Amino acid sequence: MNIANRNLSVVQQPTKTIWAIGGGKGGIGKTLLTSNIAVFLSWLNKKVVVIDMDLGGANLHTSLGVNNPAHTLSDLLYNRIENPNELLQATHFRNLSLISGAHDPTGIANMPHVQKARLARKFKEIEADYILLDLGAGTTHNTLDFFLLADKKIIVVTPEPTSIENAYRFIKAAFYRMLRASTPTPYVRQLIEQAMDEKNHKGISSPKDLLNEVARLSPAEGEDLKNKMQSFMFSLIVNQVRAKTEGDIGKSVQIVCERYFGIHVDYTGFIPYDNSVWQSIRKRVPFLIDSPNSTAVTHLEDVLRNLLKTSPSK
Amino acid sequence: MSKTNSEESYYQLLRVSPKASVSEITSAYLSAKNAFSKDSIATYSLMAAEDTTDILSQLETAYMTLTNPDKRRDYDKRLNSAEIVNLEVARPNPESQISQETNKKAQQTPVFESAPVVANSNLSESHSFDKDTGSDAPLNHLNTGEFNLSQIRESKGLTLTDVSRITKIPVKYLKALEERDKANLPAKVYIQGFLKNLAQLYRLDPKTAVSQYLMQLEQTSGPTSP
Repeated sequence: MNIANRNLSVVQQPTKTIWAIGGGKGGIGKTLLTSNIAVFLSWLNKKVVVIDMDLGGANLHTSLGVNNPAHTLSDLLYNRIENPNELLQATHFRNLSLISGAHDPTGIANMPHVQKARLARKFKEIEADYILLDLGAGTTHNTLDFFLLADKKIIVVTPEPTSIENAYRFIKAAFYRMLRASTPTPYVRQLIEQAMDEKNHKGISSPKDLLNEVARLSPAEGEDLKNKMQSFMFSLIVNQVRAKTEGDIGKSVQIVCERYFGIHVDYTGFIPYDNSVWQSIRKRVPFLIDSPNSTAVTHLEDVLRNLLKTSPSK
Repeated sequence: MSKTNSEESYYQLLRVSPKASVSEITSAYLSAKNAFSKDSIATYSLMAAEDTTDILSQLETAYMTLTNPDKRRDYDKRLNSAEIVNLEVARPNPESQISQETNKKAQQTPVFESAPVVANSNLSESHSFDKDTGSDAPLNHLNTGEFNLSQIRESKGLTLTDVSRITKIPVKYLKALEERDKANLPAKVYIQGFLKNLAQLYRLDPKTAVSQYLMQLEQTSGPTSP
């Protein structure tokens, strides 16, 4: 079947949309999904740029079968190149370019705020319809900030307790960081900082608890916080699903997030575990190309359709 | 702090509309039950066993109530009555009292937990207004022979601000709708949506309300919006 000819009947997105793919845990398929989603989007005649934001641990280029990129992210970061479009590395796919982090120094992960802000500004100069950020594992400020920068925030989990646990930690950390950055009132900022410490003495263990506490002290501030909470939304993909019941974990995470955190989740679907996927990894070819008729591809198509349907979460 | 919320209605608990069918309720119940089950990996790192047990118990009660027609009818009545009490407090001077009531509620109950969860959360409020005025008010309200949105609203004792707060329709559009001010009305599709919301609030038949309003709007002269 020619996947490129499949009718996705997608909703048109505004010019230049940034999608960030994160999830807190390593080895859950973020890079693999980023590269395959990028290829899929490029087939929709969209100009796509993928940026390897797994700072210090970059390997998106390998996933796309690109050898030794001429320029990398550090060239931009250390002012060796001014125009981010000069960093774009062609891939084997028309409309798809890469900004790689290959062989960048490991210290790049600890970039100071000024460099981070500059990088974010430079991303906006990139000529593309879609910019996909492949984030690294963990909850470092840099990872969280690039996640929050995105119009669409995508979280990948696998149906394993460790993955779900890390995803919750990532969601909570990103959410608090967003709130803290957008809250001018000192005592609310202080409460947010206390909430970021899970062992805080006020017993604030979730964004919902935080909101209750703020609303108790000041209904107006509580209302403001509530609006910010309601505007925060992320999309969820469950990867490496081996049984139908494992696919249900996406719905469960959605329900729990909405009830416990008070955060809206757009569950976009799951990708089944498929032998052809790891075979494609070995070949350094996206499974979309290597196994176009696999069940993984069918599900990826559903996921992408759902991602394109929903409005940006920024 | 508590992870459960006793202030939530059964509909909010199950994340369904108050108009949800039994099949929708059952589906929502099964998903929620699965999410909060003892061996669920979606909750193990977040919630203590007593919290999930509490939620499961609430889900069970909600499900048993809403899937039994008699129990659901009784529950809806009680739910509406409780909301009437809240509204009566706000009624004497709606413009000033409502904001006070909102503040008071915000102080008494957590803001998030009192926030609407279900898509059609305004419906329960519309039910409560209905109790005051009798159901299914005639379209040619007060025998004027025309569909007069302003008169219908006033007969319910509501201000434009009240209606805007409940339906989330901006006051400027409510005003334009009532005055049939074509220059300030949005596109037809929005008008239809707004009218359906208003029909729910005023306990009118949405289809008839939309068709009658649009018919009268067509007969109204004046410039249309660009």
